[in-house]
Amino acid sequence: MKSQRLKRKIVPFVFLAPFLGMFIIFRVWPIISAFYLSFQEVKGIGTSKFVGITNYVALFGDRRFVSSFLTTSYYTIATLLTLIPIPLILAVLLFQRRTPGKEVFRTLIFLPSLTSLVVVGTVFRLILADTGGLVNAILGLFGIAPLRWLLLPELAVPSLAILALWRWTGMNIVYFSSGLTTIPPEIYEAAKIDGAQSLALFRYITLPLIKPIIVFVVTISIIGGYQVFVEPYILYPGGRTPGEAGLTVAVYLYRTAFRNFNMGYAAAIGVALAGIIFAVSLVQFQFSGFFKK
Amino acid sequence: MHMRKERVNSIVLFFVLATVAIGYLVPIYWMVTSALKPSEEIFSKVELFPRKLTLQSFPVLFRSLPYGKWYLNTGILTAGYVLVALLTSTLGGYAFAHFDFKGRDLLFIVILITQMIPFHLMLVPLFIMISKLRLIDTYIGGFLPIAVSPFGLFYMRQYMLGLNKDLLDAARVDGASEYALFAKVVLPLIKPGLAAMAIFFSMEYWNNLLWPLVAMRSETRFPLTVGIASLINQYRPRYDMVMAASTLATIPVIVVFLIMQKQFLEGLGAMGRLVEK
Amino acid sequence: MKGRISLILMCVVFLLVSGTVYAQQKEVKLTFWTFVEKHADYMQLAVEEFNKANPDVKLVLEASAYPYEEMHDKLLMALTSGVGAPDLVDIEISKFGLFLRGDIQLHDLTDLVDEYRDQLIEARLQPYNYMGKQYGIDYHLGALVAYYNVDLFKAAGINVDDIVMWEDYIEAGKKITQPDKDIWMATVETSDLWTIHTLMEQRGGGGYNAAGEMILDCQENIEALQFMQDMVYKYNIARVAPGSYYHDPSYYAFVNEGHVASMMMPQWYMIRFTEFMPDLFGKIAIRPMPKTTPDGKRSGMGGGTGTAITKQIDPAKLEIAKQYLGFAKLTYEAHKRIWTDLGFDPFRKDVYDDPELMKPLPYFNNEPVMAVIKDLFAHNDIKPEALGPFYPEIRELLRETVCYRAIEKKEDPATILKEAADEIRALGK
Repeated sequence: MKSQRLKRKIVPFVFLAPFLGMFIIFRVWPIISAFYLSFQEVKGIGTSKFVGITNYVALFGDRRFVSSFLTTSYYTIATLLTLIPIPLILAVLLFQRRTPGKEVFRTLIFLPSLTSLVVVGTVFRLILADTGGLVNAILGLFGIAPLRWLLLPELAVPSLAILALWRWTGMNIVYFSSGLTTIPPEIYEAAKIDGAQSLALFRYITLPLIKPIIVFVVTISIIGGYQVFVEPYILYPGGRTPGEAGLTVAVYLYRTAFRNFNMGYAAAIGVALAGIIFAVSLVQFQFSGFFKK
Repeated sequence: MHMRKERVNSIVLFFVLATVAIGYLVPIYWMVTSALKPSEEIFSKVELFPRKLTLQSFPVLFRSLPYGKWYLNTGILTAGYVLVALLTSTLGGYAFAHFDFKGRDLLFIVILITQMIPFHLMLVPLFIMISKLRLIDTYIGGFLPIAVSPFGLFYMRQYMLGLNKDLLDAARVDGASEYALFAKVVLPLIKPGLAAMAIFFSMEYWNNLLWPLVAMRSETRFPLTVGIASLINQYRPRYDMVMAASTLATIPVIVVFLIMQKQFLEGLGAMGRLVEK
Repeated sequence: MKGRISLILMCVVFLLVSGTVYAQQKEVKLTFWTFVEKHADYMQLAVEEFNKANPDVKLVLEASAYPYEEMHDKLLMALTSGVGAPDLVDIEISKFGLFLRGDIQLHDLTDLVDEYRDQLIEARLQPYNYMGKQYGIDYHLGALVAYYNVDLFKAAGINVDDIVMWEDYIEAGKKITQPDKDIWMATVETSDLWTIHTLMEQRGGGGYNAAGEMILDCQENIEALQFMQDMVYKYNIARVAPGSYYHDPSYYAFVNEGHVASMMMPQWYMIRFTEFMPDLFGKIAIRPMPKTTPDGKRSGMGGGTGTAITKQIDPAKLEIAKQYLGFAKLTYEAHKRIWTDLGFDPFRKDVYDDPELMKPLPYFNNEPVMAVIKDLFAHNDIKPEALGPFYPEIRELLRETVCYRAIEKKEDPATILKEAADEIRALGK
């Protein structure tokens, strides 16, 4: 009898073991180790010295860290401003019964999301090139002088934002569409009978009812935005960053760790990044009433 | 009158959407045509319909790089990643969904919070660990360390919360062991969820450059992502080759997607619905 | 009884003999990393020659070529974690300093180099020498030269040989430059350092001086940066390079179409011309750089890759690795191959008298290019480049902020260099 009860008690842990085991080895331990590293100064191969919070203090005065933080923040904001409203509107349009060919359009717009981020980067290096690039050629058609997209730090965030808009619209449309399917059509019928127009329908019915999915997309956009690595890494490959264009926090971390070999400092950057993401996410949750639930 | 307005609206909508859709296709079109252009012309001529077409970039690609190997590596690594992630997430998710144990909810939240921790934080310690285990440049090293997914756990738990508890209890009364129960009753019920997660994990690995970049050293072990990334640097500026490589990496995925569209989109959409809960 | 003993004896003898034969023909495997395919090919060829010259050894080289940044990143990681580093490795000059910090994980090659020292151009050993020990051996001299498009000069009625001083260069530039046709005397980089490097080195500036002092904000450098800025904004004879650096495909296309009349680059840039700019065949003349002062130096050094032996090599293989390295990179034959196979300028003096090096090159205006190099080092015209502990960080700043600020932001060169130098000084604390 006792062994039966014991067996039943163990069961959840047996199921949990694989995940938990991997979790402890590959998540928990590295996180602790990274914290430990962040309090060290690593000067050369194999020499490390405990320095307390020196690394963290240095972060505040680090020109590159501050500028990478700003760049990353602008990027995240830019993606929020474009990758929430535009896919949302497209999702609604594609959801209407009367929209012709909507299946085809949805598929076509989703195709970019299937491309590897690396491929996106390489293709956009071509498209955004200052000579021989497609975007500048198109601008030329409208009589606009070519812009040096990848050569000026001021144009880094716009370049990355254009890339992001192309790549992630399809995905966000899918998320929003799935949210739209949860709205019972009767509500719309009822509102229409009361004489509501499309815009009002959208504002007072659609938006509030898909709030959870919007919050979800905003959250992953913030987390993803602050960690952005592949796109800037490819658009601005090693050393090809005039005026430190496109330096995001993640790229700076990678360079600090593997190029300048400053493991302790890199770990501190990592911790700082995690802190920033937490803080911003908390603010976002508070703002959207997540905690009220 | 009203009918005509509806008509006009539809037509306008159609054109707007068509423009947008074509706009989204342009980069892909650009990639393919650049792959077919002679190398010197890629940056010198901007043509919508290139006049000089050549297939030379493809044989050069295969001759100078182990491109076929890259494909194979991508397949192996992705498969490994999906399997491990699916396994751990499903088993773990089940534990959280259907069992009660001390500290369960706290543990769940802690695990979820780690999802927000940037991978970069763990990069260096993970690398040192894998180096010491001599797993650098091996397939296992390429996918195992990153295959634990708190998001996957979250999804599977949410999904399985939706399972009919009575069905499970009935089976328990019949004397089935928990493990058999899981294998024979639960698994078949969650097939759509597994499919959705499999797709999600595949896409996750497909987009992951950082870990394979650090873990795989030899050119013959690169997955496609690392391989193509390695083509952008000053010692190999043959852009037609880069575009050829990119094209071959993209077209098959698109083809697979077009065939399996329904399952794909349904799976991803299901995730959205789950968040509602 | 006797039969069995003799049988055992025969077996033992057989084993001994085959053992020694096997030991004679022992196969030694060495791993090698590089970031340039051609270097890998070169080293493989050297292996074949080495094996022919030493029949009692069979050397096998496992060479891998990785992308530039990735290879150095991986090497650093491997040497830190103590696992996974190759036996031999190419380390680029900008990165070499990283490996000279803390506990140096590279073997001392001084005794190897000493064997050949009298014939080597000492200046080329300098960058890889730290605290008196030699840690790396380069592939080439890397002399800085001027590349001129003779067609553009002819069209303006100017002879390239008339360019002796920078004043002549500026005058010629004003005649050659036609902004409306997008034809320029020169271009400047905003995301790489070759433009500024050539100007700094020639004037005697650079990152460090021979005494090991950090001189990033010295007067010579300020003048060099000022000149670079002036070429664009004061004399109007230069523009920002398409792609912002001299190794971008869009830059190659631009030059290939005849938009640029001159470039100051190390000799190894020659292969970029032959490989990526086919339309310029026969139209490029190589000359010494213009002078700043009548007795100023006409050249300096740029770039370089030092091959080193890591401490993770099996100690039993160290001796033979050293022998191989000497054979591959320091002998007369090796340096001849550096020219014929790699197209680089050798750093052994005697090789320059070889007829192979004095052959005219059809691509380069049908002239013997190496004659220019020989002339330069014979007249002691090549300023040696000095390295220091923060050389990598200095290079990074030059690449990413200094040129950008001078050209795009039009800031004052003295200010830019002072701030950069201060940043480096802060690192040293």
